[in-house]
Amino acid sequence: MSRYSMKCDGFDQGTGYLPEALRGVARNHLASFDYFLDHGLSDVVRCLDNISIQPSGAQNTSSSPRFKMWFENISIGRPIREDTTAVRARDPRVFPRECRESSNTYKAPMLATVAWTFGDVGAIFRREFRICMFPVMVASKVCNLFGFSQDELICRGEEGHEMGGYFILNGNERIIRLLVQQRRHYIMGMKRKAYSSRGPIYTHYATAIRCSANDEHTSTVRIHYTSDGSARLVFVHRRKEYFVPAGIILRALAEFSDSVVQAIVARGLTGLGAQVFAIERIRIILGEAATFGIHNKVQALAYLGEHFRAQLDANPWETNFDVGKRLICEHIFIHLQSDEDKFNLVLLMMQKLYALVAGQCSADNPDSLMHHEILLPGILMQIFVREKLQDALHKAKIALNREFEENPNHASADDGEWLSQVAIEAITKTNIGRLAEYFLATGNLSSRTGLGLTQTSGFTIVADKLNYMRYISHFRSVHRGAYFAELRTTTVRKLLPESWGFLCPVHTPDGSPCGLLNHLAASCYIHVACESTGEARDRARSQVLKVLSSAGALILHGSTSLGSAPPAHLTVMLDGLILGFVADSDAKVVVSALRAAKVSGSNGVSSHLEIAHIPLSSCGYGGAFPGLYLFSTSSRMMRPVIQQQNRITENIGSLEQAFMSIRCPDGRQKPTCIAEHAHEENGPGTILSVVASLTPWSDFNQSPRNMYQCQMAKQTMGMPLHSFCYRPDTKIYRLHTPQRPVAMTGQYDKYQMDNYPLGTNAVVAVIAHTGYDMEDAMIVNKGAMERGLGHATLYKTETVTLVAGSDENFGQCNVIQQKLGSPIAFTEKHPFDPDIDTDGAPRPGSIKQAGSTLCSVVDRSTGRVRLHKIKGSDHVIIDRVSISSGKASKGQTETKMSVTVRCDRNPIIGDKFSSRHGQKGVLSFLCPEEDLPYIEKSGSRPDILINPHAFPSRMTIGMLLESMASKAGALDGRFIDASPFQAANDETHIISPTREYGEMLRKHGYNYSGSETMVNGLTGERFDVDIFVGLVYYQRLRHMVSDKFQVRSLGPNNPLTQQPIKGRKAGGGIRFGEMERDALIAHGSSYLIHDRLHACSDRHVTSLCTYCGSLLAPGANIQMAATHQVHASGAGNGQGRLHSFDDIFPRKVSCRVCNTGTGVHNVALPFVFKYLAAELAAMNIRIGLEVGDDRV
Amino acid sequence: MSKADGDPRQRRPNIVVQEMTEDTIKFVLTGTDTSIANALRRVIIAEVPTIAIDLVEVIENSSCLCDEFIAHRLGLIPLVSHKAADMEFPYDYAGDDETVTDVPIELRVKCVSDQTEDVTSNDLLINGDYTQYDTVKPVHYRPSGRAFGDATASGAPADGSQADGDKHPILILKLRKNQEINMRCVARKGVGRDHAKWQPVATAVYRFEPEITINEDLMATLTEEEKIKFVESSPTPVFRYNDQTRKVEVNMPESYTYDGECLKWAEDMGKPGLVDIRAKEDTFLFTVESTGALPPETIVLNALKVLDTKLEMTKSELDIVKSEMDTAGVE
Repeated sequence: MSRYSMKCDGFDQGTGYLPEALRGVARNHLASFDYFLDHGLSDVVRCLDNISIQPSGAQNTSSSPRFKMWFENISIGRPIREDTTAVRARDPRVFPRECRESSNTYKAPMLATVAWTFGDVGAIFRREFRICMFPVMVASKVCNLFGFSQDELICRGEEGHEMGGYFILNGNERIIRLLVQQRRHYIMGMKRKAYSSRGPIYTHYATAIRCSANDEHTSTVRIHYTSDGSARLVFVHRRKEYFVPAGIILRALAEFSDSVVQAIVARGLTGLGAQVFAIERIRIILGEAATFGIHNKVQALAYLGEHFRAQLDANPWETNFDVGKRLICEHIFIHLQSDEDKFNLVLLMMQKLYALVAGQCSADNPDSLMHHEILLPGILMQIFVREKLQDALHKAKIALNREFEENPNHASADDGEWLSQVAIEAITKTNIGRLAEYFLATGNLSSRTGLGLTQTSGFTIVADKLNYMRYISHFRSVHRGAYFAELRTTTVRKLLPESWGFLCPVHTPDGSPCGLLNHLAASCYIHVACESTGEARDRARSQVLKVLSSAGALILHGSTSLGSAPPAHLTVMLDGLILGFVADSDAKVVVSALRAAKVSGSNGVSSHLEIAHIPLSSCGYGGAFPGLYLFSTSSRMMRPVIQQQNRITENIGSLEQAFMSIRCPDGRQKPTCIAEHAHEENGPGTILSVVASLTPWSDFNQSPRNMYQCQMAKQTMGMPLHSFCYRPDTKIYRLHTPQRPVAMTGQYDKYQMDNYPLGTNAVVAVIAHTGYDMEDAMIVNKGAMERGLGHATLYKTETVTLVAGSDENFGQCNVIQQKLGSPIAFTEKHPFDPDIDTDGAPRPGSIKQAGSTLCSVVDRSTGRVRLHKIKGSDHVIIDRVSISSGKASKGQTETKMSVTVRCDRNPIIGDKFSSRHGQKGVLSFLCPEEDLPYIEKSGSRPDILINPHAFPSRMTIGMLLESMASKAGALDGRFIDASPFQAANDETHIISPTREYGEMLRKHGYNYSGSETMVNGLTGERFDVDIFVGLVYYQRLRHMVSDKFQVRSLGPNNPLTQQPIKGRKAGGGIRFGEMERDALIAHGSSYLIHDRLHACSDRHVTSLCTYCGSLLAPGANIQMAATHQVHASGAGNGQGRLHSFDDIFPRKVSCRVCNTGTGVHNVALPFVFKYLAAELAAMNIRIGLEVGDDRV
Repeated sequence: MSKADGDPRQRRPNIVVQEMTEDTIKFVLTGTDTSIANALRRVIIAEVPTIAIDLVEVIENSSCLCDEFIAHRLGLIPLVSHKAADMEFPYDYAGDDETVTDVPIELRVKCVSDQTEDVTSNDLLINGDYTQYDTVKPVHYRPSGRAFGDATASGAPADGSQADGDKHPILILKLRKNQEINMRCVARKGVGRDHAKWQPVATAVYRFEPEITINEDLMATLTEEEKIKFVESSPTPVFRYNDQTRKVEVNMPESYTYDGECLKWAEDMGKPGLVDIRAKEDTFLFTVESTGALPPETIVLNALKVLDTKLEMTKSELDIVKSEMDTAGVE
């Protein structure tokens, strides 16, 4: 065994599989996509309507023979090659690496079974076919990497710690963003100004519930309170809102007596006055229904059916009653099946509405996390596929209708085969896979219905592998929604206490997405249900019911007669289904019974059940609407806490958390004022996200500094990946000598950051020295830099694609000689390029100067050579060349060459560095080692000097602490635990870290406070004061001068205005704008203005006629000009504007208005002015200049 | 510089070597001032010439590290630099054949075993053609004898002797099976000012010798316990409590780091002036720690030579200026 072998504790040597903490990072994405594969697709198919077509000749009766067709099964296979025949000899499987390298999409075949019946035979025919190739999530169940160990992953060119969770589209890795949505199956009491604009009688008040059907498609139902005392039920269909009088819906759902409904609704309110108020409203509502002539269920359904026939695309043979039933089924509370349950829910919504109007409960805050859930990637794909399948069926229907029109004689079962063929063709033509690819590649949703989402773009983001922290945080980021980004108000961005433990309070960007783009706390996850439909759900439900009833809750058994329950009863609701009631006094017992069942894990009650017990507020006014709300479905944010009594971990949701009392260790011996805590936090650090939890001693820093660190950690250069040779990313930064920090938090090893480190421990002296460290600049030891501090490389990949369908080939000219036999010599037009080989590719390892050739393409038929130059201004080293060919969009074969080059990025003046405490700085001076101050005791020179002024205003005490502690750790030969909130966690044994590490320093013969006597390297004299020197982990940020500097003397000009163009890439200048001009005017520096804005810009010498003052009228005598042409071409040395026409032909210019040349003089003025004169002349406006002698 | 001047203010700098090992030297410089001491320190760090690999031509590199990175590592390997005195700086090279600027060194290793192979400074091949320059080799060099593609040779030294613990070779990179590197390097003379790889020392430092006087009267007012506490207040063993005399004595004045801890303690006790510590302005305790490129004493001597050359140059320049001024004055 080599003496140099490192301790590889990062790798899980025991199992060879991804460690638990890292699996948690992409867990939400993977679990939900697996759910989509396992259950989502079949749920969609089960809930999808069938299409039925009546042959046009037949009568419109319900009994006539019809062609019916539906999907029976849809599944996604493993990613394989599309054209299996061509490469039969090879492995048919496609692996992610191949897709990345050849810019392809990682996709797998989607197989479907359609079934149809035709006529009255009753026999069902089935047919399986491939609908499309569907993009597949890496490391999901169907991924070819699924179940691979670390070694197998590495063999396939992946990271050993590949987490998956992303899609590969055209070679790019993209992640579906987690989006915040309104919590499903919870009645929100809303008070919004916008609601009153719905119509003249509408008020601010409404209750709303977002319902989710078994196949995860959602619809929202609202009940609005109107000023005439009535109510309107609102649902959305095809992006349009429909307002229906609530009375009609009530009648359509159940047969009931008016008094019962009145009694039920009134029960939700306290006080006789309020109850009378509610009773009166119900009377009005039902009276309103009566005015439409609706008194019973049949009338109501028929009425609804009659009015919604067109909107629901009713078939001619459906009766109004049928359509009405369909409306209730498809749009009103789609999560419930029975009318009784729906009826109960309407009544509960009305109870809450009247409580809200009467002021007995407060409106729910729609920005609060307790009313939120997360749109999971798998569910998004599910509802996307659902809609596209619907569209495909619709298209099939149109195709079949056309078929029937053309050939009305189809009537027999034999024709069914042919018809199904037509339908399948129409379905495959929809190409759901291509639509999904477009959706994932762009993040733009093109949808008929909008899928019940509030935005149409920004659904996916690129999984940028700039460094590991940035990569991880993509998976953990949660966006509030594009709609809120444009909102002027800042209320949605506020950090509310409800998000405690779920969203990290530190990790949000500053600037425009602040507060909208949040990150999940490290321990927070999003629940993905194991199974949503069928028996499993019923079983889980019955288990909950069993616990409820045995604990003393009153259970409804599918009845609407609610008996005479006293007002102190809370409604028990599970996933939007009203199960029954529980007496307020019994509620606590019921809740604890449920919690016990939840954590026991034995009796079928899910451990992810959310038990939100909203108690009756003591005064009866102002609190949240009481109830016992249970949630078991997907998409809810959950996090673990500890039950204090038996130390069992329980997962809690964001709604229940608001009504629980959870103790958080805060370093105090005794609990704070609230006497009873049923639960306890795992520790105060659990509120932090993955990135925020890696900041050492963040509890000692001023809070915004920790936010800045979260930003900068994501811009740091480090070791972003290990599979450099298989990655064609356009830009990868790599730090050559990254280290493990001496001081790091406990999370550092949990997330195995050692595999992807991003910084170096540097000896930092806090000293104001030489003035080069002013304003956050820092001095870096030149010797340390030369020994490797911050050395880095930038990998860039450029791709050259051959024009599809042409005769192009990679190669130099002489390739043609071989192929055509007709020798095309290397001529001046086709020179031999020594930079590249005859195959047209550059030699790996060779150094290329800026502007040299990267790749050569020869057209074999025309002999034309296309040379690709290296972009950028610095020299590069060719790292790798790869050629791939694959199918392009139009079915043609496309050949690409991608050349990966390395750029040297060792620190130079102007590069940016930062510590882990939001202290960024620019390298301002590489100080020679002998000039640096040195520690008198040991002679060591610091690596970095920073200015002490960086500390007082920023208060990053954590950095000072890190400096001391790392120094002590380095002396002691061990790593230091710098986790935040250590004092809070360890309540009995508190030593301040300053003392701990001060003593440690003293033990090693160093100063207690970390300071050192230093000697000025320039003078050799001791400093009067001791200097604070220690070890700080420094990050090198990706912002480097080499990518940013912009300078020009001469360069391209705008052809129209003659002014220098803008843009760094184009070699343009930096705009010297109005404000800059104002500054120069204020300083009176007129020569400078003249130089910047005239001489260095668009100075132009032109003729001006002093008689008429015109710039445009003077013109050259053409006859004269012709005789001087030889002279002109000789003088034109490319600098056209310096030798204007008038320079060459003095006095030969005459004014065409005044007809004389005597008044024509040469003047220098900005070219744009002449251009302006010409433009104005085109509008018949003449510019006349008065010319005088300025010497007078 | 000449003794004949007899200026009474002229000081007589003196060096007394206190301690010398293979790679460190400790000496006391007396009879001069800070500027000279610092100049010596700066010259040792930045201007004593050594030899280091300066150019690398990569013929084959199939290792997982990139060319630049390996080249940088090669450059940082300290080479034994006795011959630096005979060599010419590449930028001073006048084109005559006698002087040598470049010493070729090669590195050719291919891993043929299943085990990870360490490529170390022992694998560098010193070219035999330059026989007089075969002393230019990595420090603690024991040729591995591992020729290109030689499967039998291991990374162990060829003479079979076991490298002792302190003198292990310098790791350059590691190779897996079938990976190979083949590089042609050129070692050149240079100074630390140009690049840190030419620095002959890890550190060169001087300290001011402290002059510690204990105010015995004030010390006598302390109790025994306080005296022990006072001794312990200094993180380094500057003082010692003598059990016999029951007095505090100065133990190791040179270990004092000017941290002021004992002064602080005295002040906190309400006894300012308990001890008086002053830095001697004309005594410098030097420590020079070599990288191995040159023996420490050679580094100091070379540094003095460089310093001398610089002074000579300054003097001759001044003479020219002076003569110019004189002629100007005559006119």
